[in-house]
Amino acid sequence: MARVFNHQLGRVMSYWFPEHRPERQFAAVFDTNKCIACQTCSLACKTTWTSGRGQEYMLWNNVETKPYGFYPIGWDARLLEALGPQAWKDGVYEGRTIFEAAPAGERLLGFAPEELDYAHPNIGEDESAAAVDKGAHLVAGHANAWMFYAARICNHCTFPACLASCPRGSIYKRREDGIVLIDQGRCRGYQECVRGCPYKKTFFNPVTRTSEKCIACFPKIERGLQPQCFVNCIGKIRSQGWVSTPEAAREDNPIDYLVHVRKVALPLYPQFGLEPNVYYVPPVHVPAPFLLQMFGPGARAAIATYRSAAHDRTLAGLFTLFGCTQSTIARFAVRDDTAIAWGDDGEELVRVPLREPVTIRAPWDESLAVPRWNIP
Amino acid sequence: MRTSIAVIVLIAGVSCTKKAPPPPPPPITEVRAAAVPDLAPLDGLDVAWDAAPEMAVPLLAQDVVEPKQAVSGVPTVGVRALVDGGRVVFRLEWMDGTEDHEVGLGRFGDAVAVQLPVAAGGDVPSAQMGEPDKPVRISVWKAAWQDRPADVAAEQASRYPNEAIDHYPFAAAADPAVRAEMETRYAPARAAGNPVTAMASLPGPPPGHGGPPPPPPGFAVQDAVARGFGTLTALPRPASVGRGVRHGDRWVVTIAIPLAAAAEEAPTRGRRTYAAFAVWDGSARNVGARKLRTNWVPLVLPP
Repeated sequence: MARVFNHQLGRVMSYWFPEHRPERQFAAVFDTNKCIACQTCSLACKTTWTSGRGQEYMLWNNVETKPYGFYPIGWDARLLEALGPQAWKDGVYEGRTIFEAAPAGERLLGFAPEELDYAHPNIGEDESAAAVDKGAHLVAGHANAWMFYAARICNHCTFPACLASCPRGSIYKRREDGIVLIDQGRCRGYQECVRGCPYKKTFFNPVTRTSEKCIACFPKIERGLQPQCFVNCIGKIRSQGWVSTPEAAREDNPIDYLVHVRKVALPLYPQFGLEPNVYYVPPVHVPAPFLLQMFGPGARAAIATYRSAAHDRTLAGLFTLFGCTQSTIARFAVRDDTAIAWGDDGEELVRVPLREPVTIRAPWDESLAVPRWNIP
Repeated sequence: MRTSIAVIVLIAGVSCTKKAPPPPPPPITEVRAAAVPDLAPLDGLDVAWDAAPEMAVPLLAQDVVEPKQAVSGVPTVGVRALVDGGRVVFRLEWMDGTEDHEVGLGRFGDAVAVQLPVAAGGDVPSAQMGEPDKPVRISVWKAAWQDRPADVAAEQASRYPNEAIDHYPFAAAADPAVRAEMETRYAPARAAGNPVTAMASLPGPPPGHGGPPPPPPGFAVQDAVARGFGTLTALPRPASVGRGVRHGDRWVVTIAIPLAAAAEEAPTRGRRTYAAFAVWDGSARNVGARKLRTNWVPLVLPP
């Protein structure tokens, strides 16, 4: 194995191939606090890409309720249990990654889900972590009764486990944008990538007898457009862009700003060691130990920063831009009370006021003698 | 009672001293093909195979590259060969108590492969998938290819009787050509011309899409070339054929490979070359590199 630097772990780690970062890296930020699990993203993806035979239970994008939702069942819990202690010290991961924990004769620590593990894509939906004491209603901030929605796509990792798993080299990471793809002309359906991806975002198609995965809607990306699951998100929880390494981070790059500058968006299970490139704003109401396990040691600080956004014009302005343009935002700024986004070529994509103008009408219309509803 | 046993032992001992058991036949250390005047049978249980001596080739766990096969559950594969006018036909027999001919998520099929060096002569490459400048030719038989369903939709409905599918986008197309084109669009490996999908009973590719058409039933063998680990590349059209049958708790599979047209290539009649073999047990989750393999063994083809 080669030795590579994983900035999410703060240390060098073992990987199957030498470090070779793309010219730029596809990345995204998902704000879990805004997701309502409407599954519009799942349907947008499914109707676009996976409506064929053999793809019936294949969801390149899924939304699951945490802590009891899984697709496939137990995908993260099973690996976390097998991985052993996952301690962090001063921002450096002291445990083993799935590559470092590889059993003898294997390329990494993985497991192969069974067919039935995919049969209930929305299992655990809306289940809270514990019963609500003394009543059937749930009060936000309750000590034990919490849940949140985790929208998931392929993380187009910097150190992909699917790519490392494939003995045929049928999986590749594009030099121009870091998108990870399965060569559909070369895959022979060994399912090693299904076993190897810890996020279980490669899928076996039993009809074609090959594996398939999220392609980050690369035909759209190549035209400067965000993927289907992003532009169809009614909660506006997502923004797609490009992430730099920490030392090359730019303050006017939206993803860099959220990930590296403000550190409000965090990777999913960074301890697996893949350097995933979909970053999550952690849910504010979830106990710290769970968030530490799921998003790494920066979770508590990220929530504090997120809560300060109401008084932070730049941060609030950037979140306001989420879901306001179908184009990929390369650069942003907040000026006066307006957030502005620009594309790759410097063209202005959209400008959004930090506060929408509000008009409150009288609740009774005298002229028509009817009541009015004021809808925000 | 004790006296009786002593007498029996004594008689046996006297008998042994009088007549030594016949010496065991010398072990067969090469695959020596027998020539047949007509087409060599693809039925591995045909009596014609009695003319070909069987070499028990030791099977080793693939323990060279990850992912490795940790254990070797089958000690040997029995190899015989017949040569007819234009082909060398291998008969491969090995023990496998479970018949696996379905492929699905976490389900793998039984398979066997014959590997020959592309070039004639004794300078053979590594038995592990060849070398960059010394390719090997591999012919793979898979139970899942031989027993592939004739109708994917019917097979799917049979396997998942309670399935509920709202709609396939291509289902509404009345024109069969349009429907096939749309269905291929949602089968990217098929649209990309992946030879594996030709063995999966999908509809044939519409005009403008690459890839070989599905082979006729019984075509369960795929020919490929390899130049090292991870380089196996299927040839556009298989030239070899094969057939597998169950014989008790064993597989008996025949693979017929055309003889080389050029003298500098293998295999050709009257020349000595080498062959190697690999076996996959689907129930043991053998697939790809997780396999049992052999070293090169001499292959002798009669003139």
